[in-house]
Amino acid sequence: MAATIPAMPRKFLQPETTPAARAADPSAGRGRPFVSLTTDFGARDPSTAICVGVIHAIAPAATVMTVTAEIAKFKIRDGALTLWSTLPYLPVGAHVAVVDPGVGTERHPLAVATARGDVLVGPDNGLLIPAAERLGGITAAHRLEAPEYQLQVISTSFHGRDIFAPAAAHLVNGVPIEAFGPAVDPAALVRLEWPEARVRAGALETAIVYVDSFGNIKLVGEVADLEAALGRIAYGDQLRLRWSDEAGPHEQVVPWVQTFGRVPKGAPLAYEDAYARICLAANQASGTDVLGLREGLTLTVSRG
Amino acid sequence: MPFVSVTADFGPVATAICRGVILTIAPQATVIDLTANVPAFDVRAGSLDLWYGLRWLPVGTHVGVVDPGVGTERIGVAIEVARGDVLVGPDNGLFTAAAERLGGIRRVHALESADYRLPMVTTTFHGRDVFAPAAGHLAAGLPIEALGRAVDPTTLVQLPPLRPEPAVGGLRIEVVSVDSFGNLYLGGEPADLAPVLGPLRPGLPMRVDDLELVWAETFGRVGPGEALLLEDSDGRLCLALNQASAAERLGVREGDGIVIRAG
Repeated sequence: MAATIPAMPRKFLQPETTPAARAADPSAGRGRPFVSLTTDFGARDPSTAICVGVIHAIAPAATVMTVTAEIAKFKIRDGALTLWSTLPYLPVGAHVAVVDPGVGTERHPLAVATARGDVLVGPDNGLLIPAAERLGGITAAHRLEAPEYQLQVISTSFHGRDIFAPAAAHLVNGVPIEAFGPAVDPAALVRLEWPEARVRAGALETAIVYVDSFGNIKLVGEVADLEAALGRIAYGDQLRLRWSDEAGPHEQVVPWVQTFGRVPKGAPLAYEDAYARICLAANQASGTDVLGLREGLTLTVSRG
Repeated sequence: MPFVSVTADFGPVATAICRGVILTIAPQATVIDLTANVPAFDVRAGSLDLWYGLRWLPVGTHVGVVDPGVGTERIGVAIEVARGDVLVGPDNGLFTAAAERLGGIRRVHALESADYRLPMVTTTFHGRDVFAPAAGHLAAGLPIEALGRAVDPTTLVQLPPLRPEPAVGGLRIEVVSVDSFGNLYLGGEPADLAPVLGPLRPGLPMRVDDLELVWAETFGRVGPGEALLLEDSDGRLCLALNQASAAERLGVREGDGIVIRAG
């Protein structure tokens, strides 16, 4: 008899933590000034560490954490998904995100306050929005314009260092968000276009939006969407995947299981990932290699 | 100040999530990644990184996650060692070597109490949902026995130790890891070589296939591109080329065996 998994929360109004931590300190996750950084600068270049240094210099009491410097370059959507999956588990704080192909052009630098109490800092290019919605929604957005909270010389190509990192540091030092510049209507912020999961009779149409470092394949939509299309799904049920690429149509049946180790090594599977997304994978192998799938393809999922 | 490290095969973002969970519970802790880049699913490689790295970190709580059995019957454990550290992760042998190097196991408890897990434990990310929260609470002062029942240390899954084997005219030894320079770390100690090669002294010639090498103290004792065998900074046998990749030159990867013969 399979264990029942409760639905994942969709909004995080507190940092996700244990019952014991919550009982000991209802403000858990607000213990120290906290700043995170998520960038596409790469592990080779010192750019992310330079931002860390700028923050330490302004806010020496802060804990500063690099989530990653290795977002695929210029892929705003990958950055947005990373923030969406990560920030609910970090302490409340200021979160700098830089995937900014438009740096130095007309796009505005932003600070976005969320209902959980965080402020997300980065370019107005859609990067911050999915995470902000998951942290309870946007409560205020301001442009970063006040020169007293920027480095003295603003380059055209490194706003992470010159504008975003200093803003985050000043925010955790207690500068109110409205001191940074004019308010922006949250509805006017740039939003990314995402493929949507579509519920059809007996099938879910979905798309591959991300492949992680194991080759696990993340589909658009949550398990609730899959069940809306197929009815209640039990562990051991077979799912039929259909897709087309330049080589023609393909079809594959995979079991719906709790976890990787429920199928033989190298075999494909479908599961609910640790963020309630529908995910395809292979046990101790790359799901993309085993199934012949890649990011960007659309898929139809029905019963097998 | 409490100290926590994270060693995992799931890349920087997932380790950052674990660090975030730890800091939410233990905001005063210093939290670092030893590495997020253990080769995927490779429990032995992870166990070697822990063996190699933990010795040099402050006494603290160390999370290890190379966990192909996540969500199956394998249990999660907290292992207290003689040095005073607690190692937190799956019971799959990941900590066998590190625990021994930190003085041996003092006691072990299973990670069972729901108080010290995230409210929702998924089937595929126990690093975030079980191990990081346990480490955060340990760093914040929780006694290990609060996490769950005591486990007999002799029942833990063990990784078998790697020993060199005699081969015709030499010693067959496994490449246990390859670093980013292409240096090969071998599953043996300098003492294992003496019976085959005689006493080790600088300049002692030896070979692996057609590659000639010498025993040397450090890389710069041979010419650029030339090969040497040395005792590395942790007492391991290391086969390297001066300013070049031994892995490329020999065409070997982690897990391959090589035969060292007198030159």
